[in-house]
Order: sequence, then structure tokens, then C-alpha cells
Amino acid sequence: MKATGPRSLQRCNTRRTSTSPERYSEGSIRPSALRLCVHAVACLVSLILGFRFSREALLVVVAFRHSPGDSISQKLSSNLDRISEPEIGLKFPYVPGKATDDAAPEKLPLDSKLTVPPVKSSRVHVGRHEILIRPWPRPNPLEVAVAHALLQRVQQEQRRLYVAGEWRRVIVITPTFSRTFQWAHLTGLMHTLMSVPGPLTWIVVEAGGVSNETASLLARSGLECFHLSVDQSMPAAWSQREPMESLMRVTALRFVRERKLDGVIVFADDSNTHSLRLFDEVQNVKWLGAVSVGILGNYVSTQDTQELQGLSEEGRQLVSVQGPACNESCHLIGWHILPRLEQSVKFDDVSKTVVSTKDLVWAGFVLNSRILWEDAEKPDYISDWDEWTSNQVVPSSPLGLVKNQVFVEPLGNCGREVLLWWLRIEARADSKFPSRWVIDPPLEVVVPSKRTPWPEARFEQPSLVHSAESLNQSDKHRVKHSGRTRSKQGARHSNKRRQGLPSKVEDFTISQGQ
Amino acid sequence: MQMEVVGCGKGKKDMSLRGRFAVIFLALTVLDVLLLVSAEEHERISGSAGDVLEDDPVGRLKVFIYELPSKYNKQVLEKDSRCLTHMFATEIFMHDFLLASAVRTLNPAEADWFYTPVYSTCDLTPNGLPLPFKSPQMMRSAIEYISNQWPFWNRTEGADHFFVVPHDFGACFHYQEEKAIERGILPLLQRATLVQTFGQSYHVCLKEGSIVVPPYCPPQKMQSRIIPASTPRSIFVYFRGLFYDIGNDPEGGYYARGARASVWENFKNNPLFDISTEHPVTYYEDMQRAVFCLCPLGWAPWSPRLVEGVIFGCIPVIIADDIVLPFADAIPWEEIGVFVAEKDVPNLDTILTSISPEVVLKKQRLLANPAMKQAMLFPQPAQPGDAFHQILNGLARKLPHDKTIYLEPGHSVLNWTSGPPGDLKPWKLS
Repeated sequence: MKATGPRSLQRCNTRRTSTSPERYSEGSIRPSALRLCVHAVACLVSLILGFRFSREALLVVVAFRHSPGDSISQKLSSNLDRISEPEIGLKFPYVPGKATDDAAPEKLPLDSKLTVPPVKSSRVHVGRHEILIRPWPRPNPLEVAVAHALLQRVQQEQRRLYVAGEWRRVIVITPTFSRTFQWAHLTGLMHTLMSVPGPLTWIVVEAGGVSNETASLLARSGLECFHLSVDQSMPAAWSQREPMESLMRVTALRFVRERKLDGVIVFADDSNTHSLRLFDEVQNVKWLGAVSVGILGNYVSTQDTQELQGLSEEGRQLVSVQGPACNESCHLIGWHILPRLEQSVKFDDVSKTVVSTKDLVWAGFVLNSRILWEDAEKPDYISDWDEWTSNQVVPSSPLGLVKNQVFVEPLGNCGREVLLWWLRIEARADSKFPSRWVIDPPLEVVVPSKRTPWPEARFEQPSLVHSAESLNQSDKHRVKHSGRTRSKQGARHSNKRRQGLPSKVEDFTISQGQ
Repeated sequence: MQMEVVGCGKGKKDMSLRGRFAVIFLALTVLDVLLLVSAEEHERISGSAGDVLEDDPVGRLKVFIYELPSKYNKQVLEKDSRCLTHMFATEIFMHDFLLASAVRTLNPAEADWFYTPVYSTCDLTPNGLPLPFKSPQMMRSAIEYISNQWPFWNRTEGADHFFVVPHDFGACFHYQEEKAIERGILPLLQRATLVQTFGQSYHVCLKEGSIVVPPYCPPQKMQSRIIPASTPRSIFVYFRGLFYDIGNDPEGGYYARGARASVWENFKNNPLFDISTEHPVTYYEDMQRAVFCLCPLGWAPWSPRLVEGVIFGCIPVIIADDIVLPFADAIPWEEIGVFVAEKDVPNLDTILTSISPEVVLKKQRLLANPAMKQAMLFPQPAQPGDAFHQILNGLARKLPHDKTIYLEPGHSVLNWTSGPPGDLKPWKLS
């Protein structure tokens, strides 16, 4: 037991112990007779020794405390409230002495706490307090889930109270085709649409026929959806892909027209990222609305298109946005467009193809589905469906549905809010990928790296060395069953090695050479 | 080009016939219950004094304002105009309000309450914080003046007078808690009613019968930043402010009694807690997107965060033991805010997630009550139901005065010479 020194001369009948019967009388724990005896003995001992020794818990704390005892009493007198508390309140094991710098000497004189009028029954006092930290301050996943449920409930109530008008069904039209990133894009879009807090219909148009992978993904979503297909497959050249996608969207619009689906039509391309606020904002559309589309992946390599690269004068990265342009009184006066958008150069094999997009992307437009119906009451400025699709060229944007562009409604605070993002990145057209991105059966390949500490690598056969090199490139999905025998060989060899003497240096140099 | 249609899912709409009937039956039985549940946006607030937030004080009391020389008020303000915008500006705006109010009377014989307009917090450091060292002298000097010029002070020795003392620790006139406790309330103000922002039970600096008011927050600054109420509240807990006061308490443990540091250490990695020391430009907008806003104590238990939380509809989580909140008799704070003991701060996430959604929605409805928001503000010009009127209501509720406050002529209770020697010096506007 450590000596704490004469500074902490306190009698048993100090303020602390005088308030302890009060604490006990709050009804939590009755002190047992044994405890009272120990308490009395401790009082006597402390009288003799000359310093405080009135609680047996003191022993535990003093024994485990490493710092010198100059400030123990100070700490203890503020801690005792909490150390004796475990009977009452704390759920977590209280860790005394955490976080505060124990080595720092106390500057406060001991008396300052005793100047607080003792009559009042408050335990709040001035002075240094312990910073309470629980031993594992990590979020509990159950609590996080409960918190999210609470947020959802609060938001539902907000929608009920403050959002005027009924929620109109959102009809989402997505053209897609089988390619490397299709699964990733569609999964992301699926989760976005599953989070939309209202009824939704998803129309997926696939190029080249209905594919089972896409159908399985749509079935997994649990949304109401229609899986359309177009027989033509998606052409490889980028310049031809846009008209094909427009064709697919018009196909879907024709479906909406024939089935007389009612709601707000949003063109959600699978490679876009949508904010959930978009679906709240599109409820306000009357006939044809436009939203601002942020553009990601707009990398331009040429020197003379510095401004297209999105660098301002200070060199800060700007973000390109395509969408309606408004004046101060929030009327549409034009469009923000980028005259020449180039595809991302990272994965594209036709890297310098320029796709000139004079027209605006479909994703920036929102329609009221009645605009397509045959016999709905439409204002005069809406063109007829047959007019719009009559000529042989597929329309490249729904702007043709209104006779005058003035009637397009800008949404999202007049285009100032960017609610969706167009991610213009695709993989190479000839890249290989497993179906549904599931490798079945799982790979069981033991592939030695070029620098391996394992001695069995030096027993590798030359054919496998070549295959290891090719595996280091992009295609990683080839299953190698020969790997099994090789590992067995390696194990046998390693056993042999272990039986012998420790390996010499030249063994490792050989393996490193590979 | 052909079109194949494959229906891929019908959503979650399929239900059997029996299921549909059960749902309809349940809906009908629940419907009349739902009609009873308030579908309104907000609920009425009634505290322990009753439904008094919307009372009109005009006609219930009369206030006489002493004419002090301008060195006590106008000249102080002319020296530093920052006094009009900091959180201690209550005293100045209270004076302006009372000068123009209908409760003012020019005849002191019929007055119920007497007001002394002295701006004692207006002595500011270069950083804008009030220096408390001259405030007691200023207050003494003002009281000497009014007791010499008018007989009303000596009649009751201040028992029917009220003073506005919005300092950190009220009329203890110090920013450091230990010093404030040592000094205690200024002896000359022992009988007067104090209108102060500081409130903590069992504390020397809160007198029985004081009226606790919110700190001053500029109303226009907050009301101009209100976003549409339909913006979804997606932040669970929000806080911006210091956790450690490196300048004054580098080791931690003194500032906020260690509670703020505890919040940081326990929840800095918790995704539900959006807490940081950086003050963003969108501070007010973020508060309106949060469900809970922490209002922990700092060097003093009160803070403008409570007012901001109420205005922006964010449920205040008050971490300050024994705090007395503004207008506690008129506003039932237990039903509106969440009180967390300082020792329970490590369990804060458990406590907040264990609050049921119905309780949270009820608190939000109470906060949405416009009377509640109005009661926390000091708008210029004054509007019905604002904090000025709540102060007058509080004063009116203390009427009629007890007959015992009137002293015999010549009889004196207060000791004019008690207090630290520095207080007894005469005051001069420097």
C-alpha cells in the first residue's frame, strides 16, 4: 500500500462520508454489517496512520495506480463519487485515470472544493474532473440500425406534414446492354431505386435480347419492373451507341404510351448516380422539366481545351454541369452545354473518339407520362407523339416534344442544384468478365509472387512461371486446377527442408530471381 | 427491331383476399384512434405555471424606469458598439423595449417594479469578451445614485426592483466559476429580482426568485437562414464547438467538467455523430437537417446553442448537471429536450437510440410551436410572445408583492460595506 503523504489529511467524518448515508438512503444498496465493520476498522486505521483509508475500494485503486501519489487524493476525492457508484449507475466498467495526464501536478489547493456550501445536496463541483471514456468506444451496429430507423420515421413524418400534394409514381427508364460494368452500374441503380420512398416502376430496356443476369438482378430488387428488350445488339463504336440508346428509350416510351402508365418519367441511365432528392424534385414537373446533370470523368488530354478540362484561372478543378440556364427571375433562358465532350481515356481502346453532343442528354429531362398518351388533355405546345417519332431518325432528346423550348420547366431551384451525375467511364469493349461477377467454383490457386520468401517457389516448373506472368495482367479469372498439385509438391518439399538444416542464402536468391 | 416484354416483378403488392379484409378492418378500427392523435404540426406548450407562453403582460404590471445619467448606459454603448451583437446584449435591448412598452409608467408611485438601466457587461476586451472587474463597482454606483435620488430603493432595499445581469455567472460578476462562487451575488442585489442567463440549481450565483432568460441571439441572422421544412433530417446528432479549451485548460478536465472532452473521445468515430470543432458556413442549415443537437456546458452551463436548437427544430440534448433552463416555469423543458447527466456521457449513443420515435416526434411537434420559438428570441421591434414579454410575464407572476418587503423607514437590511475591497471603490467611466 502506498503512502500518500500528509497532505491528504482527512478525517473519516468529512463531507464525503457525511453525504454517503444520503447516497445509501436513495435506496440503491443497503450496506451489510460486514461492510460497516470493515468501514469502522478502516476509520480507526486511518486515524492511527494519519491519512485517509476509509474505503476498501481505495486499496484496489491505490495498488493499480502507477503515478506517484502527489495527486492521488485529489483525484480520488473527485473519483470516489464514481468508484462507489458501480452499485448505482455505471453500466460500463469504469476505467479510472484514463486520458488525463496523471503526471501533471495539481495546481488547485485542496480547499477550493470545500468552499462549496456543504448544505446543498448537489454533487456538481468546480475543479478538475475525470474525462470519462468507455473502454470500447465503438458504435454498436444494432444501435446504428435503430438510429437509421428513427431517421426514416422522422423523414416520413416530415414528408407527411410539409410536402404538399400526392406522391406521383416515378417511372424510371433505363437502357442497358451487356458489358463489363453493367452489373456494377445496375446494382448501384437498383439500390438507389429501392431507397426511393414512394411507388416506383422500373422499365429496363436491354439491347440484344433479354439476358438472364439482368432478369435475376431485377427479380432481386423487389421493385415493380418491366424488362423490355431490343433485338439489335449494342454496336461497339461509341458514336453509334448514342442513337442506339435513344432508340431503346423511345421503345420504352412507346411501351408507356401503349400501357397508359401514369406518373413521372425519369431517364436513369445505369451509369448515372442519382441523389434521392431528385425523386422528390421531379414530383413538381407539369409536362416537361429539365434538371442539371453533373459530369464526372470529363478528362480531355489536348492542350488547347484547357477550359474544357475544367481548370479555372487559379487552377482549381471545376465541375462541368449540363442543364437549364436561368436568369434572376428563374425563367429559362438557355442551356448550359459542353460543345465537345470526350470519353474518358482510361479504358477506352478508341481513346480519341470525339462524341459531339450538341443535344442534351436524355437523363437531364423529366416527363409527365401523360405527355405521351394518345387521348390526354395536353396544352397546345406539346407535340404529338406521331409527329415526334414519324421521321426515320430517332429523336436524340425529348426536347422535340415541346414546340417551343420556352415551355421547358427548370427543376432543382432553377437548375442550381445538381441532382444527378453522369459517370462517363466504361471498360474496354473486349474485356472479359465472369457471368454475374460470381466465380464458381471459387479459385483455388496458389500463385507465387515474383519475390517470395517461401523456398518451395524455386521448385516451380517453367510452364507455370509463364502462366504466373500472364495472370498478373488484367484477366484474373482463369481457374487453374494444376495449382492443386503444385501446392502439394510444395508442401512435400517444404517438409523436407524443415527436416534439414536452416536454409542457406543462395536458396533465397534463386527464388527471388523468379 | 422487336420488342419483347417480360414482366419481371410486380413489387410487393400481392395479398390474399383474407389478408385484404383484415387490413381494411384494422384500418377502420385504427382510423378513429388516429383521428384523436393530433395530426397537426405542433402541440401546445404548458409548463408548471400553466399555459402562459402567450399571456399578455400589458395591464398586469407597471414598470418604472429610472433616469440614470448616460454614463451608465448610452456612453458605455458608444464606446463599444459590439455590445449590440454579442450574446450579452439582452440588457441593452431590454432597456429599449421597456422605454417603448405599454407597461411603462412615468409615475413611480403606481409602479409595481422598478428597472435600473445599467449596461454592466459592456466593458469588452479586444476579443469581445466582457471584463467583469468593474461591473460590481458600476452596479454599486448606480444603486447609490438611485437610492439617493428616489426614495423607492430605501423603501424596500431593492425587493421590488429588477436588474438584468446577463453575465457568465449572473450577479457574481466573474467569468471564472471559482472566483464567482467566492464572491457570491453582489450584496446589494440580495433582495432584488435578477434577470440572468445563468441558471444552476444549488449554486451560489442563482438566487431564489430569479428569472432565467435565454442568451441573446440575433433573430434576423437565424431567421434568414431557414431552409424548407421538407428538407429531410438526415443527421442524427450534430455539434460544432470546442471540446478542449487549449488556451485556458490544456490538459482537459476543467473545461466543461470534462464532459465535452468525453463526448469527443467516445464518439469521434461514431458515424451517427456529426461533431467537430470546425465551424462551417452552413452551420444553421446543418442544424435544420439534424434530429438531435448537443448542448453541453462550457465554462458556464448556458449557451446560445439551446436557442439555435429551438429555432431550427433540432431537439436539444442538454449535458449540464443541475442546469436551470430559461423560463423553466413556463416551458416544460423535460418534455422538449433530452437531459443527459455528465456521468452518462459515455452512454450517450445508447441513450439517444433508446428514445422511441413517438417521443421524438412529439418533441419535434413541441419545438415546432411558434410560441416556443418566439419565446426564445429578442426581436427588434418586440413582438407578442417574445422573450421580453416572457420576462414581463415572469415579473407579473410574482405580483402582488408580499407586504413584508416594505421596511420601516431608517431600517436597513443590506450591508453596504460588505464585499471585496475592490468593489467598494467609486466607479468612473474610463
